[in-house]
Amino acid sequence: MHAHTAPSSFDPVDPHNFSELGEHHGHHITPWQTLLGVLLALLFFTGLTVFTAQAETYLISDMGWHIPNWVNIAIAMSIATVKALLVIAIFMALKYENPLYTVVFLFCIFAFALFLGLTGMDLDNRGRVYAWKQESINFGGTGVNVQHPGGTIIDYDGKKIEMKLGGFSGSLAQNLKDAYIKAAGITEDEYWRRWAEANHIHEHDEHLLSSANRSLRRTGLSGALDLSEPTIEHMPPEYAPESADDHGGGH
Amino acid sequence: MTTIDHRSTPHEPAGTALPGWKRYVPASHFRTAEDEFDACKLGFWLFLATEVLLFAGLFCAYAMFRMLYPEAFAVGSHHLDVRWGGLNTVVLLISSFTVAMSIRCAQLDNQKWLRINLVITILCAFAFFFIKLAFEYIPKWTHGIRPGVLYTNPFPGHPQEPTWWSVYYGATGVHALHVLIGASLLGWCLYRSVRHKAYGPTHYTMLENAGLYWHLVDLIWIFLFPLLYLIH
Amino acid sequence: MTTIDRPHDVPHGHHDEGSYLTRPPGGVLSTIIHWVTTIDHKKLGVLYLGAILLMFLVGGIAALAVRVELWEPTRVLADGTVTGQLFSGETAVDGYRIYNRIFTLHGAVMVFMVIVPGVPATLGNFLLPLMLGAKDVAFPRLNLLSWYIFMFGLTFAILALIQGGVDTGWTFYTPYSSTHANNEYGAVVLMTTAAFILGFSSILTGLNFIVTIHKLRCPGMGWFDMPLFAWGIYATSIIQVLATPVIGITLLLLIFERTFHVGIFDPAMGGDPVMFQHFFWFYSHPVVYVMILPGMAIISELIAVHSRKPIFGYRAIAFSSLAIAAVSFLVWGHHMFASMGELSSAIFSALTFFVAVPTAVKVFNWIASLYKGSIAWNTPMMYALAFLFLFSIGGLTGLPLATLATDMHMHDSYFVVAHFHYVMMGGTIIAFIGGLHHWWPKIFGKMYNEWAGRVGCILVFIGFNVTFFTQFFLGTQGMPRRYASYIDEFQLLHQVSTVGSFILLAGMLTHAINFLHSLIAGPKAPPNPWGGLTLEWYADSPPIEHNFHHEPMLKHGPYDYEDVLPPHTDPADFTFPEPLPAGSRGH
Repeated sequence: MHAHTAPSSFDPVDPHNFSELGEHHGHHITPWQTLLGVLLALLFFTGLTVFTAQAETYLISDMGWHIPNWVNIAIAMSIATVKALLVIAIFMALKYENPLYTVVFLFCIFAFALFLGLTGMDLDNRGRVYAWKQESINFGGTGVNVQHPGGTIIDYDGKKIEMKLGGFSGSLAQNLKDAYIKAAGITEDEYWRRWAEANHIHEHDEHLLSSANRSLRRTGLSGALDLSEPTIEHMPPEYAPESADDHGGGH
Repeated sequence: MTTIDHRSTPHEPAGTALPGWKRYVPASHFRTAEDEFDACKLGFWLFLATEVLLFAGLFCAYAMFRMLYPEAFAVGSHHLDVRWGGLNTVVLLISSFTVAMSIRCAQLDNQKWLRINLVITILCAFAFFFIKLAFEYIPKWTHGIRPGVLYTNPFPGHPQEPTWWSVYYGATGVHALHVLIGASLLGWCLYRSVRHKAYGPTHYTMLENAGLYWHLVDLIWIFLFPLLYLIH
Repeated sequence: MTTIDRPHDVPHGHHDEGSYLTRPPGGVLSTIIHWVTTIDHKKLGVLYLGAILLMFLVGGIAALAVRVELWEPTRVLADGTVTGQLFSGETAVDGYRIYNRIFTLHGAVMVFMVIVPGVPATLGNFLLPLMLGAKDVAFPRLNLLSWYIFMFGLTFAILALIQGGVDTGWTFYTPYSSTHANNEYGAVVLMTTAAFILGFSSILTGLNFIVTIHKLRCPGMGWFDMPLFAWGIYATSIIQVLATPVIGITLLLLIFERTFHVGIFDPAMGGDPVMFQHFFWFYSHPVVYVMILPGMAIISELIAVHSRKPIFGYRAIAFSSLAIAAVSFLVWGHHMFASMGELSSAIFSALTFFVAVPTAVKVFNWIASLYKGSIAWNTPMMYALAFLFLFSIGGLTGLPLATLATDMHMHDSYFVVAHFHYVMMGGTIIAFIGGLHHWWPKIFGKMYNEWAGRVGCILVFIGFNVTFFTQFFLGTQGMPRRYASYIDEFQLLHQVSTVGSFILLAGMLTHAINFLHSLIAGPKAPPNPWGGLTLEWYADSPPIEHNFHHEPMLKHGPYDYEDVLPPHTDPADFTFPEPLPAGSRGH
């Protein structure tokens, strides 16, 4: 297309050597061994992340170790980041491309980080100056009736039941409990027995699942919701708003 | 006449020996075909950036509500089966691999394996949908676990659990929509490859871009999986 | 000028080819179809211009209705009759409800359908390839798709308007917009869907421009040989690509909230309404820089050309455009000082002060560019000078709003209204009108009447200041924004402001008539009436279909007035320079 002159001479057709720049190393063809290796690495990391999550649960519930909540997030996100970097660099070939695309992607991640970071900074620090701002957002805040469409669901015993709520205000969960008690025609105690059962066992798909989930103990809950030993007396009779110094209690 | 033209699917008499990728003529306002390929790739990476920021909103909603209601999220997450989520992850990872292989096949003019890899990718997409619908969405929906005010399950483990389910449905729903879009793009590529042998060593832009989109869909799931399934 | 034939260049550009505006053979219907299926960036720019000017009219009528309503406060007399309401119902509150819809319409139309697409979609589309010496943008069919999406979004907005409009304010704050708000025929969902669709148009346009600037500069044009207009468009496009998806997901979540009552913004379901504000302003703050950066880009061109002098501090202005784009993502919380916690407010307030710095760098550079220039007192230059004055006021009045202590008092008052009108209208619209006048001869090949232009500029300037300067006083005295009625003490200032808005109307009408007249019966324009040195002036007026007869090769910088065009030279005597010797242009 044009004579290949030495880079230092001035080509009036193309003084900035645009066409030279355009002919970079041709299209990089990734060897299939690399791609397969990355796939195997990704599968390994997937297994690793599931394993660490379940190991952590085991350590907390069965060995009684106290592991702070952030450890779970940190480990899972680190492994996810490694996987993501593998996909981006090799599968999407960003490693072999014009660095401009990497810059584009980094800017995007930067904007993402800003968004989450500064919004989180606000939502987590509401009570920094005035403690009352930190209180949890309570139900029925606007006092407006929310319309619930109701519907037919499969009950815990496999039969269908019709739930009717209509307009309601206050806690949705509270209203659902009342509607269910009315629809099923049971007592409050019976409701709590069924509730304990429903939250430990997935009866509807038991034939598909193993007992894996059943054996997981719930951790990180606040005292009022501790379900390690479900008895009827321990069931919270109503969902009271949490106090100001116990905002979620999860940390 | 600068009206819409169908330059990239030139009308050739039937029975021509040249495959589609050899007949491709780049647009006249680019200097070289290489320039056009680079420009299209730059444009597509910019578009991927916008998709990531779209999901940023969903991730932000997840992060904010997890910060506000950690127990509800922990309790709700336990109703999700790690094994189905893990299986979906594996399915998507394999599909990412096959789509990268199909691009490699295009670069090496291996039309047969290009198509086979695309077919496997699309089958993986179907598998993803099937697993999601049959083992996750439908069992939950029929038990009243639905997004927002439609939530009708009488036994929430935590008063704030409906919010968790709204976030779950929102995030996985938008992701599933993108799986559908990605699968459609790949299906279109498969059609063009079968019909016109449209992709080859000197021209595979559409396939490359569809592949990038698919990788992005996989990337989003790589982050959604631990955030939704592996928290306590 | 010598140009180079590329070996595979399609030979084009016969001298009797006519311009891009030449009617193709065939009837009216085929002309319409030709225009609405075009992929020519120039025609698309003109199509966008028509749509945007139409929406400017709609938004302007809404603004005048607002001002007329505010002529008198609403008074309920002893016998129960209500006076002082332009839009009235059976009670005063009914009238307020209608007022709420009108200012929402004004805001939504002006923001989403006039100012955000405004300069990039019209002047940007038309001029960017010409300035870079390219035949078209990088993805011409995507450009057409952008326009289709824009028109599709407009139809949703017009549908919402016909349904009676929305009364939430253009900011759609929850929980009002998600649970209450008028919802006959789903007006909120329609309007948010319109904004969602328009967002896609914005993203695709920005994407197109970024790739065009990276890939389609002509031979000889490095990054620092581009006109500053291109730098401004580049920075704008970066913001469009990164910020607009977030408003997309926000509006989507709002639509879900509205239809399925998902509960993420509703305290009744445990959601957080302030989170909506975070989501909304993460886009809407950068978008105000999408509005102003192209305006500033225009001003760089106007000042250089009409003072016949190189721009002072080219690199400073170029990098400050990028800096504004970057810092714009850090400061969105300053719209939420009254709803956030104090720690976040303090941090955002500190960050907001930083965003003023690159803006000030630009203003000082423009003023330095004017110094010892050969200033031409034509309409574009008058608009550029008006911009410097009005935008500076707007920027300076942003500072008391960035300061937490004063903002607590002036938040949601008319001070804020006056501030953003000074920057958005006194900045972008003024620059836009100036740019329209400057490039009118290039776009349409006709000259407008200069005296009418100057009169229009003076009317607009006076009208604008009378309308909005008084609003600063209203704000500091306590008049809240979005109120249809007020205490009697504010009436005089409101009436002054309303009078000003009609002077503004007179100025706009003057321009409209001037432009229409020039299209119908104006004198033919020469290719380079102002003596500009950027590449668009080397094309015909109006340009041919493929922009240039042969691919241009850049031989001098965009503002090399001292090298190329000696002072006091009449553009009519301007002869193109001989090509410079090889290697003499150091980069």
